[in-house]
Amino acid sequence: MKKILIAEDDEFLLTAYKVKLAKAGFEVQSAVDGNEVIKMLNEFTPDLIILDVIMPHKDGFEALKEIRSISKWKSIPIIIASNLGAKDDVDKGLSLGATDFISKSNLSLKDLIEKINTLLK
Amino acid sequence: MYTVFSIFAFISGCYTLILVNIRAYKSLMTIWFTLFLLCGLTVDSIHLVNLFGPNTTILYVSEILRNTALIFMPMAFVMFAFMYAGAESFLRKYIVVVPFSVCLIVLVYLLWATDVLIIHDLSQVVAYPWGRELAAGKFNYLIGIWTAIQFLGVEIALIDAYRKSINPIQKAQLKNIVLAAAVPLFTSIGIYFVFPYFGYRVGGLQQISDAIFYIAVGLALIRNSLFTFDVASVTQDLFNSIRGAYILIDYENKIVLTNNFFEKLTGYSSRELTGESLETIFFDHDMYLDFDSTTLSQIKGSVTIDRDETQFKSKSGENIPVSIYGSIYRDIHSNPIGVVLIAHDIKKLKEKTIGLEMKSEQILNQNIELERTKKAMINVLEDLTESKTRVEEEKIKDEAMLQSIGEGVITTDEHGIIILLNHAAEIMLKSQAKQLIGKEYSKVLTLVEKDGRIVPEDERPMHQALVLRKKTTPVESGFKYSFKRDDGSLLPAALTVTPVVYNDKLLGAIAIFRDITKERDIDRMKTEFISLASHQLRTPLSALKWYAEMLLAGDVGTLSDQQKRFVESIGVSTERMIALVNSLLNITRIESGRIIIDPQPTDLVELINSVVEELKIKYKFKQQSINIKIDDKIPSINVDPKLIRQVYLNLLSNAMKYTQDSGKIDISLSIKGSDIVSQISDNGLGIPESEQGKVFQKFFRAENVVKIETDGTGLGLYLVKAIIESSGGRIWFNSEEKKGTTFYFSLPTVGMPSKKGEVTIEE
Repeated sequence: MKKILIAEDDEFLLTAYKVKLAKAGFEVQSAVDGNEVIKMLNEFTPDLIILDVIMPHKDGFEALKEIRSISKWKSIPIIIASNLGAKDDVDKGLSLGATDFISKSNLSLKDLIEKINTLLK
Repeated sequence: MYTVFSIFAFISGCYTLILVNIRAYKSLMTIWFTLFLLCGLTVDSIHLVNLFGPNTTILYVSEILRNTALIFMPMAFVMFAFMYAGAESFLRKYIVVVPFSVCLIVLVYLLWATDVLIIHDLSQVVAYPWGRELAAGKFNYLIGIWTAIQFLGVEIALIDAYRKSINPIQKAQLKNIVLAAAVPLFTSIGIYFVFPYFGYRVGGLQQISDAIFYIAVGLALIRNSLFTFDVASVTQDLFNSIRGAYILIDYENKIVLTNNFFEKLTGYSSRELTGESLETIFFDHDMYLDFDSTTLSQIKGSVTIDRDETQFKSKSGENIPVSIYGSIYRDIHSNPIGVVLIAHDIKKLKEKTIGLEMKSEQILNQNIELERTKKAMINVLEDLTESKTRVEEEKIKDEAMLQSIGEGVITTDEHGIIILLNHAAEIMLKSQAKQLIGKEYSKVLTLVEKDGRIVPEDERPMHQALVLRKKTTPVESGFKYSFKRDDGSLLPAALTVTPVVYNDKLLGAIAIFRDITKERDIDRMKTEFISLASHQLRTPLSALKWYAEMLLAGDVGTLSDQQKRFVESIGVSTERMIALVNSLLNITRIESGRIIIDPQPTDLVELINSVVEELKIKYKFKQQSINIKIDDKIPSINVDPKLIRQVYLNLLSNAMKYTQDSGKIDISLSIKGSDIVSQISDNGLGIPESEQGKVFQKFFRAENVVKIETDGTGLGLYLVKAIIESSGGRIWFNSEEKKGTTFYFSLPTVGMPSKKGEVTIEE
């Protein structure tokens, strides 16, 4: 079973992720901020990471930067999930090493699952 | 033999001899002449001794004496004549002759003594009516020739002297002597050569001619003061070397001599004036009389006059003002014989005086002119001062205005040297005007961009203005620039820089700037707000969306049909909210001018197809038909595909939304000139005429649709218009209520200008 690590500070969205992804057959681990993500990464290596951008303590971009700086995590597919959508943010995310960028309010969960499946292929 | 003539000659000769020695000026000349006379007397009269009876011895002795005298005589005359004529060169040559003559005389004596030459044979005495005569011998011929030659030489010398002399008295004297000497010369030629040829013996003629000679000389002595007034001792050069016009007059005021200075002054030569009255050279009769009665009489009274002024007359009749120096002229015996006048031309002096007078008058006039000019200039100066004051007042007003302007103003000259910095600029830049004025702007003002990078000179708006004559406004520069102060702090400024051009000549540039710290802060706050808002609004919306989705998908259990419908409603409303939030955020971004336009070669047909595909469910649901018509071969154009896609999306959504079921929607694309025109038409509700003007306004929804279709943000067309116009296109429409609406928009085939913003619109 593929493991997905999700970083998301909103509890409702996190629950939604967990339910849907579990239903899709993924093992889901979660973190609520950037620091926790790093901590968890030290404990296990997921097959894919979903990173929220706006998070307390350490936001998604900083976490992304840190993750990508560790060689063993360099190639893990990372999706930046945001509600921003400004081109600068998209570019920033991609330049920092994100594999993809989604806009949470524009993308349905179904499409998200599809995207994940594509990335894990 | 020729007794009478001899006596005649003897008497006249003696007379002249005595006269000469009494009256003549004692000199070597006189001695030679005396010698000559003695020889002459001997030659002419020695025969008279024979009156005392024919005596061979006396005859012989007298003959000897006679012939000796005959030899000496011409010599003596020549010596005299040469001295008299001042013929130095002749004299010197003649001196050579003397030894020769002496030898000759010695020879004669020797020959005579040895009886070689027969001088006179007593038996050859012939009696003539006028006396007895001896036949002439060969010796006589020789002597004759000898005499003739010398006399000839004398004549030549005397004539030469005569020609050279300028002194009229001298001339007269020379004339006398020449003529006098000519007589015996020709006579002896006649006697010894001519007459004998014809067989005539005219021996007595000699005495007669000699007598004539003696008389002539005597007369010359008396009449022309021969030897007395020895003017030959006064040379020509001496005369002419006197610096001044020299006039010599006698006691009767008759001009004796003038020199060449006088000739230069008046034009009269000495020759012309000799013997003339002094009056001739005076300008008028009265002047002469005046001069004579005063100056001349004084001089004659032995007073030397210095600097008397009078007026002479030139040969051409011109008036010559002169200054006269005069004194008495005495001979060697101190007898007063004339008056010397030396005249100096004072014409030039007089002219100078007149000249000076004229000059001083000129100067006076000039002074008056100067005074006048001075007054005029003072007037001009006063006017200028007045103007200057006015200009200065204006300038002060302008400066006051500038200083009171709230915005910073910096002006530079054409080289970028700062010439003005107003008070507001000083405060904003925290600098002092006097420190910046006169310096080149790029050296004292630093511009940085938002990221802190120092703007290089060639990118600076001031450089663009001065070099490229380009204007920069905040529209382009926006919040980009900040001034970096000396203390390192930044001043965000909205900068307007304009080149100042007059008559196509660049005079300088003006930079006007405004502190936009607040604005930038506001902008930053806005951005942050937008970011925050977008996140804060969207997060719950995402949750709603996903939960609705999961419920509908049955992820947490199956729903009844009614439950399903209710959840669907939640979903629809959620989507509406999400769309609204998206639109609001896009509009905010557009309004803050921060939309990125990212032009790429775009195929509009593809875009349209994609949009139509996206909306398929909706129009199929309403059973509407979509018709796409592509006119010509539409080239791909440089437009931002995301933005234009949004345009098509909005317009098509509207068309579908505001058209009834089974309605017809047509899309067409064509090329019109330099534009590509897109047309979307429907046969739906249309827009009421009264509302057509407000259609593009924010949040506007026409009356007729609000009632029917409550869904609609009123932002769609506003966004579309903003996008089209930013892309360099135009949007327009026509519509009739209940008939339908057609929207048109054009996009230039050249494409959109790339615009650097910060955000794109969201899809």
